[in-house]
Parts: sequence; structure tokens; C-alpha cells
Amino acid sequence: MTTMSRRRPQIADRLVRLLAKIVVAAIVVFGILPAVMVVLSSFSGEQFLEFPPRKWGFTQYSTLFHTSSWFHGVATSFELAIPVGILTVAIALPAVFAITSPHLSRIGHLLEVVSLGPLLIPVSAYVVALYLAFLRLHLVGSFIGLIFAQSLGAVPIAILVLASALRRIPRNLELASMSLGASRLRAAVGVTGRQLVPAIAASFIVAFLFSFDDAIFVTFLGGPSVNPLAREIFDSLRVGVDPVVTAISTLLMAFTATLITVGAVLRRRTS
Amino acid sequence: MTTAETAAQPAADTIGRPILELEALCKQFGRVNAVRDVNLDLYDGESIALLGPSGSGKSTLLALIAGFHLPSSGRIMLRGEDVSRLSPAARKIGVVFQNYALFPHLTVAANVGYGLKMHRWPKADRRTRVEEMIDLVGLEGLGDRYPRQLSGGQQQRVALARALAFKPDLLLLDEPLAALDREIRLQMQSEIRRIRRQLKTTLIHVTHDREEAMALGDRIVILRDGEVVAAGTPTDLYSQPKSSFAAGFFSAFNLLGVEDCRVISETAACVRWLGRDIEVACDTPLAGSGEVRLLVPRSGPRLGGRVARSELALQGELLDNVYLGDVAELTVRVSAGDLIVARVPAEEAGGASVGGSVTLRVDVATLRAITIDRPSG
Repeated sequence: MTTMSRRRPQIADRLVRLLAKIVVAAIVVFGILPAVMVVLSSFSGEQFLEFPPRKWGFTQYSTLFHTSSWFHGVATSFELAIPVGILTVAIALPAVFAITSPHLSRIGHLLEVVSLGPLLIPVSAYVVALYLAFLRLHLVGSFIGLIFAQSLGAVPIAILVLASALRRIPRNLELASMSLGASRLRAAVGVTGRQLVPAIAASFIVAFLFSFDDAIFVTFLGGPSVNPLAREIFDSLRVGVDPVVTAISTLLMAFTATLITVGAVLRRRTS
Repeated sequence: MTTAETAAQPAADTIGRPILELEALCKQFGRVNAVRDVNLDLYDGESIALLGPSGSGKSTLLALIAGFHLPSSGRIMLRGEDVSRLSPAARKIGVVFQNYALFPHLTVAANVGYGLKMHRWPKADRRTRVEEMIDLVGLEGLGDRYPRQLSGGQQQRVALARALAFKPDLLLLDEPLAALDREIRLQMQSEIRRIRRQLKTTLIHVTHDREEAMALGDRIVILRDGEVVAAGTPTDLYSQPKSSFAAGFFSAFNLLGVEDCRVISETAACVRWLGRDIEVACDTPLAGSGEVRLLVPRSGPRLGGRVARSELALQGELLDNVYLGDVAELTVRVSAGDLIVARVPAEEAGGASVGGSVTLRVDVATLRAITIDRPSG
């Protein structure tokens, strides 16, 4: 083989690899760098926002831990996000069994498209529509209403997670279990359900994070009384730049990253 | 007490009665007839191979027997009891799936013991039975492994042990060897034969592979478009095909049309073929209806050499010459419409070039005439 014919593909190879490196670098710069800036400024020793910090310290963190209103926000976030996670799984789980059922192939497809619908509508338009509906139902400002609204937003993502996991579980497992003497319910719960546990946990986390990070649904539908953390951050930035926000953001990022990692590990286990 | 509950000791009235009876079984999916009017009896200890191309309804038939589908009409009798509408769990039928369908979250031992647990065997009995089954399939010491840590052949053994552990009345195997490499497939084939002899298992197995069907089936049932087109022992089907489809499936013979046929006796006929009158044997009397065909075995014809008195010399154009190791497969056009496929010793075919003229020698004693049902529809 001549050296010429070997070198050509190598050059193309290198070009592609270089391009890939540039793309990755752009992702790092534009995606991660702002986060890094926030993290760095959170360790500033000053009472105001600055980057890069001239004096390092834990001022923001000590202010944060001495302001009780932030803790109320965190507590409210959990009070919202946990029921949203549970409700979302409770809606999505039976739905994916219907969607993937071989007996409902055509209706199943329709169900899937419909259930993924909210993903296609711009969130702001969706929330405005919900707001109008909530006004009629006198649900604006109610905790329960907000839990339902956020679950509605999280259900499509949970369905995507669960349906892809369920499709990977061979149907034969259930049939095998039934041929060995298990009832239909026992086969569905004990075999398919058991395989689905990591995906159920992952979809709970996804819904939990959706609620935890949500500021839009809350701003429109929460009224003046429901104030989770994400909304507090939002509101504090509206009045002026409170440097404490950098500390909150840093902690929030650490928390979210941990949950996402757990979710990813759980999802991988299903396959 | 029903007969199914005393399965270990068959009641007097079940002796001599088939274990499984399919009566006019039909299954439609929408407007598609997947299984059409299948009647079949299976006796204790017998093995049946359901053979057919994909889409022939053989897997649907298996699913009906297992209870994964309900029949549209007809009945399934297991040990004299109508189980057509019973759930799979109530049927006591073991199933081995094509891709094994082992429970990935359970160990080998727990997989094998699953059926015992579902049938509420006492714990101590369960442990002994699981050990016994794992030894039977040759997986000693692998009880604590998970399915993903096993090879394909080993997974197949686990599936077999799991399906047989709870002592089902009947074992169903759905394309059990399709996913395995050729070497392991042959090994598993003899394993299944050994286990069957040892446990005297009654079984039905589905396959599209005729060699597998002949190796594992006491009887072979050939399906096409959801219908039984032929049934019989491997020897019957191989040497006396009743339809051109069955003959084509085993491809042991060339089926050739004859120009004229005169019945001499119950076992002989005189046929006119390629302008020659030949007296040939017929194993079954040639029936009045149906078409007479001449069977020319694929293995038997020789290429070139001296033509003996008992032989017929067939001249023709060589269309193909495939080297297969011991033998070469020749395709020869002996007349305008007739192709003969012949497997001759490889050394004879070495010099024959495609497109040239060759002479095949066929021993007249190997030719037979049969009546073929006219293709229906």
C-alpha cells in the first residue's frame, strides 16, 4: 500500500477530530464558564457582586445561613418538588404501560404523542393558558394547584424516561413468568416492575428537579404566598443584585449535579 | 379432583389418551388467519416439531398452546381437560423462549427455582430440585451467577432447567437453538435429546430448520399459512413427501412432471418422462385424483463415466456447480422445463464447467412416482 492512499483519510480524520475539539471547547466556554464565574464570585469576601473577587472569603455563605427567608424558600421547594415527583411517577407509570402495550398499538401511539404534547408548546404560552384556567378554578396561589401544574410539565419527560426503559425490557420476561405459574399482576409487578425500578427512581428525580428549578410556573400560578427557592432568587434579582444569590446558585448547582448523576446511573442500570 | 392435579400419577382414563389434543384450532389477528383449523394429538413422551417458514403460524400455534393468546375458535385439551381459556399459569406447560427470557435480576438458581416458588413448593424441596436441575443441564457450581455472566449456550441450559423444574405436563420450545452458533447448536441439540430421554419429557418445538426438526422430533408437522400441510415421522416426510411444498421443504428430491403415466400394479407404474418410458416403483398406490410426479433423489445421480444397464443417462446444460466439501451441488437443465439438482462426489464435479454440456447417470431403481395433492387455492 502506498503512503499517499493512507495519508488522505488520515487528514480527513484529523480535520473531523479538530472540529470535534472546537465544538467541545465551545460547549465548555459558553456552557460551563458562566457557572464557574458564579461559583468563583460566591467565594468573594466583599458585600457586593464582583468578578474576579479581589478578596476571597465566605461572606456570601455566612449571610445566606443567617437569613431565614432563604431557608423558608428551600423548605417550600422541597414541599413542592417531592409531591410533584410522586404525582408525576403516579401518572406516567400507568401511562407508559398503556403506551407500550402491544394490544393498544395504534391508541398507544396516539397516547404517546398526546402525552408529549406539552413539550411542543412554548412554556410561557402554556403557563399563560394555565393561568387563565386556574383563575376560573380559583386555583391561583394554591399549593395543590401548583403541584398539579408542575406535574403536568414534568410528565412528558418522565414518560420519555420510563417508556424507553420499558421498551428495553423484553415482553417475553412477563410471559415466561406467567408460564412458570405467576399471575398476570405478579408477573407485571415482580418481573417488569422490578426491572423498571431504576427508571422509576430516575423519572422521580427528573420531575423533582423540574419542580425545584421551576420559576415560571410558580411566578404565574403561585400567587403571592407560595415562595420556593427558585422564585426567591428570581425576585431578589428583580430588585437588585444580591451577592448572596451566587452562594445559593453554587449550592443549587452542586445539589442538582448530584441528583442528575444519580439519575443517570439509575437509568444506565435499566439497560 | 381433576386429572391435572394428579399429574404425577395419571388416572386410569388418561392412559392411552393423548396428553394434548388440538381440536379445529383457529386464531385470527384482525383479518389475518394466523392459525387455521389445526388438529393435532400429542401422546405421553412424544416429541413434535412444528416446522415452517417464518409467518407460517408456528409460533402463534405455540403461543396458543402456552396460553399467551386465546384461540378465536376450537379447543385445546390438556390431559383431557379443556384449557383453551385458562391463563398460562394454570396450564402447567413449560416454555423455553427463543432469546431465553431469563430474569436478569435473579441468579441462575433463583431463575430455575422461580416456577417452584410460584407453585408453592416447600423451601427444602425447592433447594433439592434446583440443584438436581442445575446438575441435569450440566451447570454445576454456576448457581450463584447472573444470566449476563453466562454464555449463550449456558443461558439456554438455564432456560431449559427453569422450564422443566416444576414438572410441567408439556414442554414448549420456541426456536430454541436459533440464536446459537452452529457448533454450540449441534451440542445443545444432543443435550436436549439426552435430557428428553432422561426425563421422558413430552415436547413440542418450533423451528424453521429442517435438520433440527428431524433431530428433535418423533413427528414433524409442517405448517404453511397457518395450516398443517403435512405431518408424519421424519422418515415418512423425507422419503415420501405428499405435497410439493413438503418435498420442497426437505429438498431431498427433485420433483419432476411426467408426460404420461400408466399404473401397472399397486407398487409400480410406467411413466413417460423426457420421451422415455420408465418403469418405476411407487410406495403408495397412485391415486386417481392429483398429479403424478417423478421423484429424482438429489443424492444418487453421478456425473459422467460409463452408463450401466440399470442407469438412465440424462444429458443437459450445467447451470451451476457449487463446491460443498465432500460433495458438489450441480444444477443441470435436462429439458426445457426441468432442472435437476444433484449432489455428486466433489472429485467428479471438479472438471465440469458451468455452461457446458454434462451427462448425469441416474439409477432407475432410485426413481419413484408419487401422487401430489393439487395445490389448493
